Amino acid sequence: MEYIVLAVNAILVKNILLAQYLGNCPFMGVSKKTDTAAGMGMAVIFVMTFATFITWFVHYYFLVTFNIEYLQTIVFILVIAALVQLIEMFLKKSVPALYRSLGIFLPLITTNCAILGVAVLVITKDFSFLQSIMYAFFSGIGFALALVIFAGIRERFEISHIPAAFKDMSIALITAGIIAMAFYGFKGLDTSLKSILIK
Amino acid sequence: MLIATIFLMGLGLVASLILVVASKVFYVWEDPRIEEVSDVLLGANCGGCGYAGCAAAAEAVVQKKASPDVCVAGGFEIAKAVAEVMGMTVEEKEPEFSKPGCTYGFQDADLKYEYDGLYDCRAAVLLYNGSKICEIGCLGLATCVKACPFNALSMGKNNLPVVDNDKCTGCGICEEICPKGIITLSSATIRLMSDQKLSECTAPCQRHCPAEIDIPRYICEIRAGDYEGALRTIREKNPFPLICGWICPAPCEEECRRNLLDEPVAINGLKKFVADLERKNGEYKLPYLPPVSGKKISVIGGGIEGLTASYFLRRLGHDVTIIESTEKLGGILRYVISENRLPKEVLDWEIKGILSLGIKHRTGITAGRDISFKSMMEEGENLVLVTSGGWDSRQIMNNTMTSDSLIPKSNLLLNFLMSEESDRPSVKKKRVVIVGEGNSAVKAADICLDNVASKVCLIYPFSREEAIERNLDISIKKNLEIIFSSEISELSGIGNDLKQISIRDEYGDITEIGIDYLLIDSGRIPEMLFDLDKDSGIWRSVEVLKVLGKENSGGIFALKNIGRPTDLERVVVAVGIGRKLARGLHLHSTGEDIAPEEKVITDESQVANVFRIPNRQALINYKEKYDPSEIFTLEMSKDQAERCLSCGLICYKKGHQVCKLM
Repeated sequence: MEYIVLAVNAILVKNILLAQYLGNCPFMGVSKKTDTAAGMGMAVIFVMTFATFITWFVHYYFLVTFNIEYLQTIVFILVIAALVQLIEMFLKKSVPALYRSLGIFLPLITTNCAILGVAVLVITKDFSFLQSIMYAFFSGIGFALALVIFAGIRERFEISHIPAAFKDMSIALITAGIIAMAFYGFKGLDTSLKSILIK
Repeated sequence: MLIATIFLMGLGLVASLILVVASKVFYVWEDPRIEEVSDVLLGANCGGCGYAGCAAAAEAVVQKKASPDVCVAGGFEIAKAVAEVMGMTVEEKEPEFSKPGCTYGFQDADLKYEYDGLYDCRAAVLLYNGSKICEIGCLGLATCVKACPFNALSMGKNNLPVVDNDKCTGCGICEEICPKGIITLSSATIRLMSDQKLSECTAPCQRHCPAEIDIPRYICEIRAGDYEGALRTIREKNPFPLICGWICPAPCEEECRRNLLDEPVAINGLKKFVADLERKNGEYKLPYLPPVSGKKISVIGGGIEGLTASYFLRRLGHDVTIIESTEKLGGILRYVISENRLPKEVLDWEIKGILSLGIKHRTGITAGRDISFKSMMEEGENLVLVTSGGWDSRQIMNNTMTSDSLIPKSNLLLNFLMSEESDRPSVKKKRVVIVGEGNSAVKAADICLDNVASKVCLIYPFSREEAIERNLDISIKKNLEIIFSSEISELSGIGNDLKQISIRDEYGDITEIGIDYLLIDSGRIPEMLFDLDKDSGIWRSVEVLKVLGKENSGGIFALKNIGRPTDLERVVVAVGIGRKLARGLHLHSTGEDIAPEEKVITDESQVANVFRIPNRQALINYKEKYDPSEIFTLEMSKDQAERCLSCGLICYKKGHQVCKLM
């Protein structure tokens, strides 16, 4: 039950892109076509879950043990970067088909703030291990959802008449703002969901 | 502090160790050149090459699936860099630019309806094929502009795309995306290789020109004062603007849409004006010339047809040698057309200009006698184009240069029948072959049989059933053989005697028949190419290649198959044919099918046209058509160019619109 609330929260209410404004770089960069957006979304789900899995362990078994939590950011960056590299190599050799569809997105994710953000968030929120993994997974889904919706809208720009001054990035940013406002409407959904579930 | 430092160092060490091990374990060998090549490529991922992005193209180059000039957008510079990485060489190609094929935007054109939907041509075309009445008109919704990955296209004021040739890389994305196929890649080479098509916007004058010159365009260039450009446009289809300016009967002017208002534009006069301007300046402007390919081509006959074919073959990159039997090039124009109609210096100037492209010529050499066809094929010049036109190859049979001697021991069927019994050549004990399609042939056969010919063979072009339908008397007679559905394919003999005739039946099988005497019914003795073997004195006709073989196979080419006269009544027709021959030969030499292009405009094709001009405004530009025999002054040329209505299929200049260069 708790996980349903978590999922609603991560996907809709606190959408990583539209409510927390993390990972804006791929949001603008790879949202011109729906299929590349979907590919990027899959890669993010995959890496986000995996990275949180590792960083959770690193945090509780190393940083806490040695009492050096203040090194969290730098250690997480290092771990995530090394992890993505490793995954890339592994995929290239063992699952070439998946590498071909995700391959070009993996290096882009290495330094993505959404990944790091989720890894840090699950620590600050004091989530248990399973909660952390679920939260990361659902955040990734939220990311993919927002990205695909956005790409779908941007594809329609191709055939609409946009004033020259608003072309490309400006209209994209305006659109992003409007979608974010739409997602704002989900606010409170989690509390009401909780109250229904408790009853 | 110490712990933090040690921890970070340790973490770094562990991470790097893992990565080092992983890079060994998960090592996948990749050709380093793939990366080098993709570094060199533009990285625009435009897809113009047909591969999914630059990386895929680089991979294809390294795997030798694509040539170094795979990047159409990058042009020669990139191709050279790629070739350097690969250790290969590339040859420079003529750059290609996209060319919008419509001249009147939707505000000037006749419309079926007002379109106010999705701002995209692909959407607009779904509704009754677009809002323009003209089926091949640009819809002006800028789909190509949005698609261009290099920002080379923009929308002009008249709602037509404008190409910035500095930015255009010739990737072909616009051509692919245009739902109407209006914007296309174009270069002088592409234009000189193609005929007018139904899918192109053509003016009536242009459609009526046997040489297919882009007339509205060159007039537009003259109006803009770009005389060199105008000449370049003309020479894409006709290397003889000055000669045509002098003697062309100008069928284009008969069809000029201006006829519906007053008088035609002096199209030919304008051509003569720009060509004469160049002659006065004394500098022959060379077109773009690709590097010479390995293909050597002999062109037999230095008349207009041969010169035109040579000119275009050279522009397509071939090594051309013209072989002419008289002492000077020029053919009929030199020996038949009188000096006052065409001054010899005009002829010499244009011929000199054409030869300055690097075309070799050997005059005073008769093909078949001085050089045999066989040796031409063997010398590496394995492509021979015959453009002997109105001349006759029979002269090679004896060593005197007369063309009035017929094929020996032959006669026209009609002459044979009409002549008195006593005048008739004796066919006694001779093998006679008669080629004919009427009862006159049967009658001649009877006469021969009465005169005790040893054998009479009648070669009939149609089948037995058709012969019965046509009431041909095919009753069986002694010593008479009728061969149906057949034609002559080869003829040979020694000196003044016939030896053998070959007959091709409907299946293409060849039968050889011994022959002493030939009677033939066509208006003239079929034009055949004869080759003389000097040692044995045997001459035989050479078969012109009909069925084309594989790449690099040689052959002898001529306009039509043997058996038909090929003299062309007008110089401009010869020019048009010469260009088509060059195209065919070029395609054959590159291993492609030389079948004619599809959807080419012919005399029979239905092309949208205008038959009435309600708007008399154009009369404002009224100036009388000047006497075409004089050479225009600058002012006269301006007046005439101003009168041009810059027609498209159904559009034309109404009032004072400014003409846009196509």
